[in-house]
Amino acid sequence: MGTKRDPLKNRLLLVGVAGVAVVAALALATAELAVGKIGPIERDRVRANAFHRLEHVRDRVLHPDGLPSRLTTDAILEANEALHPLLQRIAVESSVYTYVMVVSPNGIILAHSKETQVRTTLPAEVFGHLTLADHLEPRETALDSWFGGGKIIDFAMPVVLDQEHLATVHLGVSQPELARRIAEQQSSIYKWAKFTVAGSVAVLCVAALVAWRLIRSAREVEVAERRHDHLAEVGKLADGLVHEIRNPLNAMRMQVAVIRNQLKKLDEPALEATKAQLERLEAEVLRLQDLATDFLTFGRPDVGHTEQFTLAELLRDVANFLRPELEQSQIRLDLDIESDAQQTLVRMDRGKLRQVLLNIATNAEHAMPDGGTLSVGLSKREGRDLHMTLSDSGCGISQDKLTRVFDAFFSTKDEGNGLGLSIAKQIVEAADGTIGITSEVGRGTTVDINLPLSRPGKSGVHPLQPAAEPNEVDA
Amino acid sequence: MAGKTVIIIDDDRSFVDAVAEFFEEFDYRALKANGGCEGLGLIRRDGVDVAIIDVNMPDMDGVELARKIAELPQPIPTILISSDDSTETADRCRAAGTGIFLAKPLDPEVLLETVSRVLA
Repeated sequence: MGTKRDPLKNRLLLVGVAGVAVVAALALATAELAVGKIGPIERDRVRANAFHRLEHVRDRVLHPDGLPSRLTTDAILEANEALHPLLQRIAVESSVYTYVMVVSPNGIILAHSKETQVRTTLPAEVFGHLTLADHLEPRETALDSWFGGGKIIDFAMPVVLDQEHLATVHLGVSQPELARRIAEQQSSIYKWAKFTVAGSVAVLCVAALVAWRLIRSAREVEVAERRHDHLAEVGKLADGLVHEIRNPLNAMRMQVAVIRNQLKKLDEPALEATKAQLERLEAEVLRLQDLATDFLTFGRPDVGHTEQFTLAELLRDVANFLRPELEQSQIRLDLDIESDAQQTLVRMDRGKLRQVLLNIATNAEHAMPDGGTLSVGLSKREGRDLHMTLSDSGCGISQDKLTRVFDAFFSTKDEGNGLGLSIAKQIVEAADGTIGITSEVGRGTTVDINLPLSRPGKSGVHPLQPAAEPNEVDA
Repeated sequence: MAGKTVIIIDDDRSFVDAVAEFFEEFDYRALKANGGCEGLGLIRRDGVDVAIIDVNMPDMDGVELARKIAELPQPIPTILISSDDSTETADRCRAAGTGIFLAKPLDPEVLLETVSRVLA
């Protein structure tokens, strides 16, 4: 049944899973690449910034506001006050900077971001092994445990005036701090990658759910369509079958009429028995014809002709039709339609409802062989439905039979085919109504039918019905 | 009714036979045809007084045939019969204005009464 859909569903799932896998792999690969690059990128950035800061300080040392152009150690010492604020400001600019200082050519700290370090001599390892030439070029040195700050990268920028080495500006970058910052960025990249993967998985789950729902509802529609087609097939078969039966039955009826007429001409007493036989034969033919008609209705619940009509009018119509026949059977027909139910509309198959009412009336007639009363009532239950009752004063139905009365092919009569009430139930329920029966042996039986109210002008087409145009009944 | 001729036109042969025999029993002359063309030919040729026509025939639609009969130089009354007793078919027949419509299964008495009424 759904074999057409399963490969599609599998393909969809496969594509989805592959898609997520690709996205996840891409995310992780990108993360790895980015992470790998973070270290060098960050270090380069720190380096560039460091030298930039150093240049700034050097320029300030070389051309300070208010400082003499010809610098001596003494002059710089005096100028510590002017330099210190700048050095301190730079030092707090970034958490990776541990110190900024100005150092004399012979290693004495002339100015320091930490004031307490001034006039300290730098340890030999800082520049002991370097030549004079190195002093004149900016350089970067990795140092160990200096000033208690752990591993340091010392950036140094010479202050040179007319080829005279006046001083060197140093900026220390904390290795651990730099590493920490790099690690932080790396972890945020990983976080981003994880988020992307999680997001893709979530999207995939939602998409899979939606796809599943769509496929399922498509399959349901397919199943419903197949069922409808099947019903239509069955219906066609039923139609064909009934048609095949009808003509022979009709022919038999004609033949019976012929034979009866022939017998009439002969008219001998011995032939009376034959006439009686024929009557029984005719009764069988009629019974089979009724069964064919009833079966056709029973087998086709999905075909009908819905229209909007006044229920009271149909009741009057049926009552007028039945009255002559009922009078012959000594049955009085009382019709009581409440005033607020006179104009109320229902929407369903009028012909079928008419059949239902005739069926029930026939049952009532059979229940009153010695005459009686058939009371038909119609009332409107405001905001709810129309309530119809058909009560006879007949022999009634016992409680154990009453429960089976709507079963197909169940009959309390010898000559019934047992389809009448089960068809009635089908027809009423197809119109969203309800039907019920109550009875008391010796008193009578009452059938209750409730049908939903229909507002004028409302259109409605049963989903499985071939498009039947709703007729507006002349109100 | 003595001396009158009916023609029964229906694609179901056994049915046509049964109805023809029935009319013969009641002193009619009965002609048989299984299709519109055949029926039309018989009507033109023989002296037919009334035609009983099935609406659903493969070679020609019964209503169409009734209309053709009404357009003959000497038209005759037609009785259309059909197993399809829906209001649409009844309306269609009435709209064609060509005659009477009877639903199958045919009641023998009703059929006789209708034919004699039409010939009166």
